[in-house]
Amino acid sequence: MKDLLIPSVATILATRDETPDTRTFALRFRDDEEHRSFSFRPGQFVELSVFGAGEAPFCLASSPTRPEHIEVTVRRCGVVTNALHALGPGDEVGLRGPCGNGFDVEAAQGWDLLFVAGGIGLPPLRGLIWNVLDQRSRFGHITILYGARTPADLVYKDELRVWSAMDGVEVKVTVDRGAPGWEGNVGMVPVLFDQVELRPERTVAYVCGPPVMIKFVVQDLLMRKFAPERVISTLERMMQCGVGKCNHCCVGHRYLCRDGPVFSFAEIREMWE
Amino acid sequence: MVSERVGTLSESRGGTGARGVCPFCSCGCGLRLLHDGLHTVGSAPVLKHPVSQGRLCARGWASHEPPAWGGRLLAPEIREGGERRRAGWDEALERAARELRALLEVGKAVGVLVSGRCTNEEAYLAAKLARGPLRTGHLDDPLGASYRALLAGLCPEGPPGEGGRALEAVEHSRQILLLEGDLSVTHPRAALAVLRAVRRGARLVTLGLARTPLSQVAAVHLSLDPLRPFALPPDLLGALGGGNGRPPEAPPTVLLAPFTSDPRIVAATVRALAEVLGSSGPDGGTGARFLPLPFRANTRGVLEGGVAPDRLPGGLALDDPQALARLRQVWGMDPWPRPGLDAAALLEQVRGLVVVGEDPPRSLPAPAKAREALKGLESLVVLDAYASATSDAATVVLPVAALQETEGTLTSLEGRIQGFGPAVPPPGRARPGWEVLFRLLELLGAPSGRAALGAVRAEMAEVVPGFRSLVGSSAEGEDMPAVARAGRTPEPDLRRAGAQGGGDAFGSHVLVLAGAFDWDDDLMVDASPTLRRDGASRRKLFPQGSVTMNPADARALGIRSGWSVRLRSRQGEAVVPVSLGTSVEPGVLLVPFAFREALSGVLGGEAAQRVEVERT
Amino acid sequence: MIAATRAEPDGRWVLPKENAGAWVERLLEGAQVIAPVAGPEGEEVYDVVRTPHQVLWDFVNPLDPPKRFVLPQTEPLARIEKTDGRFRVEPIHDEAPRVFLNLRNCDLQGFHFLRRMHAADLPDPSFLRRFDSLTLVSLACTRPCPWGFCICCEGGPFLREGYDLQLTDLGGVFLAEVGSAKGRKALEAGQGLFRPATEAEQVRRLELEQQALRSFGPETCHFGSAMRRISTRRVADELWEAMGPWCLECGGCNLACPTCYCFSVKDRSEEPWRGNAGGEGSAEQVWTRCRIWDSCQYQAFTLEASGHNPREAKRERIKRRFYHKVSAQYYRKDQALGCVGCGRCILVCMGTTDMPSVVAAIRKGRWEGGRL
Ligand SMILES: Cc1cc2nc3c(=O)[nH]c(=O)nc-3n(C[C@H](O)[C@H](O)[C@H](O)COP(=O)(O)OP(=O)(O)OC[C@H]3O[C@@H](n4cnc5c(N)ncnc54)[C@H](O)[C@@H]3O)c2cc1C
Ligand code: SF4
Ligand code: SF4
Ligand code: FES
Repeated sequence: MKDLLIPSVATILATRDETPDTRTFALRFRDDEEHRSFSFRPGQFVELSVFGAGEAPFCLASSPTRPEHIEVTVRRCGVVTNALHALGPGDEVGLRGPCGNGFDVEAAQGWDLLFVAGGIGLPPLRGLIWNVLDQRSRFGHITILYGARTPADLVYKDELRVWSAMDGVEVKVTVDRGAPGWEGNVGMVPVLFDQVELRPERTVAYVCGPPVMIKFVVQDLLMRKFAPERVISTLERMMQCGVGKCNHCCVGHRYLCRDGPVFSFAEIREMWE
Repeated sequence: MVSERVGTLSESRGGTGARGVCPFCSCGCGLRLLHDGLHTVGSAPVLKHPVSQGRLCARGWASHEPPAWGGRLLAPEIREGGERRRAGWDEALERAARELRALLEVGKAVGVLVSGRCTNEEAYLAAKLARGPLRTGHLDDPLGASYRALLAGLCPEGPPGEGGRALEAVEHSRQILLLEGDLSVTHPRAALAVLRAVRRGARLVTLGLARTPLSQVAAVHLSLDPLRPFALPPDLLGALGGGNGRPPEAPPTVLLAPFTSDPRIVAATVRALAEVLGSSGPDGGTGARFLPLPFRANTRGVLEGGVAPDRLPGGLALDDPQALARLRQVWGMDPWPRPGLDAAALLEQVRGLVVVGEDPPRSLPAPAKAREALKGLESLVVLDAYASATSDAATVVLPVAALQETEGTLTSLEGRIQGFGPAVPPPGRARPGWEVLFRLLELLGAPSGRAALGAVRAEMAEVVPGFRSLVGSSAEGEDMPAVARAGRTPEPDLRRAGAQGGGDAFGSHVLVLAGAFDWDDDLMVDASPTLRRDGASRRKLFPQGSVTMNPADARALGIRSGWSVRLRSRQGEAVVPVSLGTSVEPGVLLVPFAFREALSGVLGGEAAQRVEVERT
Repeated sequence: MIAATRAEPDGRWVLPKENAGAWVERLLEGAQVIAPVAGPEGEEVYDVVRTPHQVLWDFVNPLDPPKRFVLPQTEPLARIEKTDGRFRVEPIHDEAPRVFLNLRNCDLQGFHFLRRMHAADLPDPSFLRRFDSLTLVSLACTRPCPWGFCICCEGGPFLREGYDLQLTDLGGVFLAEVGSAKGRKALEAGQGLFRPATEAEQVRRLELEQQALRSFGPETCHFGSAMRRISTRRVADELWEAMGPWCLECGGCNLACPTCYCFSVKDRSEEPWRGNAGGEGSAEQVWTRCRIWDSCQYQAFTLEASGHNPREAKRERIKRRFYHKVSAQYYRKDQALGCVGCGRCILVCMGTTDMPSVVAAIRKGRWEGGRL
């Protein structure tokens, strides 16, 4: 039986700066066999170790349909993330996972999909978006709404362009505060709702981002008659083990690292402690 | 598979564990230190320990972590042409002695700083180093000034409760006056004594600059005026007596913890309290019993071992002819009889410094100034277990064992002298602190006896009355006589102490810059992965510091937690983020201890001052 | 005796007290033996014994919990070595055979709680390996301890199952009840030292149990109504708030609790100890990844990198502790109450918010300052 808390060694293949403090890392298990057998769902996460500095959870930002490497997009904000940003291609880290429940892609088959992301909330959705786009015919209309604080805080700028060029995919971007050279939308994400056609009865909505943003967006969606079971979000808590043992991530008797981090709003409503 | 060094059932390797005394606060809780032969790996409570009685606070439960997880000094190092390099013990010690001797020969001032996390034996040897071969009175504990401020003019009969049972006496008091920063943080075991008394029906009056958990269970909480704390609330006696204007019937117990990091203000406030409560004088008063609470595990023992600019070992007066004669006889050299400067002042004056187990920037009221001063020294000899800003600046680093790795005694706030042994050997080439000090003394020409801890203790017993019990093996649970009374502290200059006149109309708020000591910025706390999280997070979120504001004030200003405000005082202005807390009174802004320097640079070093507050 | 064991596999045996030392001697031949011994302050502590006469047979349950021996406060999980920029992660396993002798039944229940939780959902092989190499010999309490309330939690003083071997002190002899194959093996190690129990001895064992149950003191803890209230959110926030100042956030209630297992994972640098132990190999840097005890009563337990803390207030954390231990939701999840009635939190609490005090307050809807 494999040890629950012991990471395997993985190699950083490449990095890409997304914003001044956010960087995407492409990773591959050092052991080929292990890499091939690593399977996951979008919305799941890994526990990533920078040896000596510690371990922290990050969403898998790549799609299982593109298995050559796995990607995480990491904002620099503390001990582990700072140490990770100091590493580059060829350096080794530890990986453990996948952890968490992930998005139920099967259940969304045949539905229109609405993705609403704020700031660093796009990475978990990105894996799902590519996953869906890679099996495009199984889903209805796809709408991607994305907001960040400033134009400099937008991640995956190239991919936003690629997605918007695709058929049957609508992409809208907004920033809270504009900047010289920015000609797009200005305002919080909900301003985009009025620019697209929403079909609540046929749509599954995925909302990811900072807690405040999630709160406002979900409220707005419910007012627009989205069913709580079909408003899907991810929750965040301090995590240590990622495997349901350490108790850091509980909300009541639910463990975000096992029962989550993906929940429908109908479930979130029922959570208390 | 199992690596020899890190057997998994490590906790079982060390027999029943080593007898330990908690190295953090001065309550003196006992514990068992568990180890795997190399690392300390666990802390266990001891039901039969007279102080802790099976209890430990979060720090006590993590007392095994600092030595095993902290950044350790592993080998002697010396600085050469700006570069530091490893050296052998002999070379490093000789270098230290040579540097200090060179300064003495040209008449430049040297000093010695000793921390309250040193053992009594180390403190005594450090005091001997200063007043012996270094011929100086520039000798202090950076947190000692605030303890001396509590003692000044107080405790004519020593701490209450005979036989080192002061905390037990607190538990059975009927009236308690508590002057505190936040006792539940600084001295948890003492806080339990207060809670127990309250549970038994005692009347508790809390007094301080902030609302604390204990103030919530108090019958009355009285706020000190942050600008003039020593102008005590007028209703103090009545509050203690029962709220109907009558003074207390039984002698109240008064617990005194430094409520601000400015010792002058502490001293003035305690003096005022002593007057109101009439501690002294045959004609009554309230007969209050005072219990001063030093911060660190051995702040009291370090003072009694002689670490103070105006005391001799034993806490005796510098002009005590008998004491001087005894020292001369025991040391085989004349003790330096003149007073020196306190920690903050001596840092500005000396050219050479020996620092034992201390990182002055973390303990002194003005960290930036301390860091600057350390950098400018010609010789800085640092004995410590942990790396710090101070060891970084050292010209000679002498790595010593952590408390958990050495034999020694600590003196608790009650005056209990408790012995403990090493749980594990020190890592790398670190040596026990007493041994290093002993060799340094030898190299500097002090006539020496046997290099054994027993010999050091025998010597201490001759000059420090309270240490008589140290000779022989049972150092456990013995009591010290009354706390030092000798040496009048100079009248505090209240104008310099940051008191701006009361009638001053300037400013919407009062900014308290000299927040009381808490553990957030402590070196050992920082070395513990379990304990460091809160402080590390606060320092990360507020790299420029922050002020704590009452939520009502924030509402009035229309701001939220994390937003910044502009503070304008007569000295200057600054923009700082606020965090909200009901612990501070409306109209007051409190700068946490760890952030005390963030604003002092701009707004001046006053302990408290009026400021205008605006949204940014 | 072997023959008798075969004839009567779950029979009852007695160990005359004068044979106890010899039995321990035999156990020591094949395993590490952990038992209550006298600690440095003269009080009882659990420790690895080297000689039989260290073992205490009549003792008050040690304050420091035996869970350390299955879930150490600092548990090395893996050795991490860096050489030429490459890492090697070597798991540290521990499956040394051990006999836990004279465990109290409340703690035995605690052990099973920990095992269930580590076996549930995603099993933790590293814990299970160590646990399953352990033989659990309990010593039933014929005299209740001064602060225990195991009768309120199905925790003791006598058990019907869960032990490998349960001993009862009948005076001149220990009665031994076999609960598993491992227990039988421990018994067999004492070949020639045990003899079959007489009818009278078995009756005596039942009498002692009844007597023990009757002699429980005033220390009780009525979980029923507290559980109903906690599970249905009917404990007023003001009540938790009122308890706040009486808890000093020491975490002792968690750290000393036989059923608590919260932890964090950290890397300890082995730099300072290299060379001390020799045989270090050529690695440039070495760390040990450790699992270390944590407490949900510490403010930083849920502190996120952003500074956001969902349980910033003390009342939230106290509430959390009792939700995990006493709610019906967790009772279903863990198949047991999170309290075995050992009474350790009563002794260890730096404040006054121990289990019985808080349960009583919830029942009464009023907090009066807890235990004196
Ligand atoms: C399910 C999940 C998915 C995440 N995905 C991403 C992602 O894709 N990109 C990204 O940039 N960030 C993500 N985060 C947040 C990320 O885990 C934290 O930013 C990170 O733990 C900070 O670690 P640090 O050591 O740099 O910070 P420090 O403040 O130094 O934290 C120390 C330790 O505390 C723990 N910790 C602190 N904050 C958090 C937190 N918010 N969540 C979990 N553990 C925490 C970690 O174990 C960390 O090592 C995710 C968090 C969760 C729970
Ligand atoms: S109260 Fe003080 S002495 Fe006791 S465990 Fe806590 S820090 Fe240590
Ligand atoms: S309830 Fe008691 S034992 Fe638990 S953290 Fe609070 S003070 Fe400590
Ligand atoms: S992160 Fe450890 S239980 Fe969820």
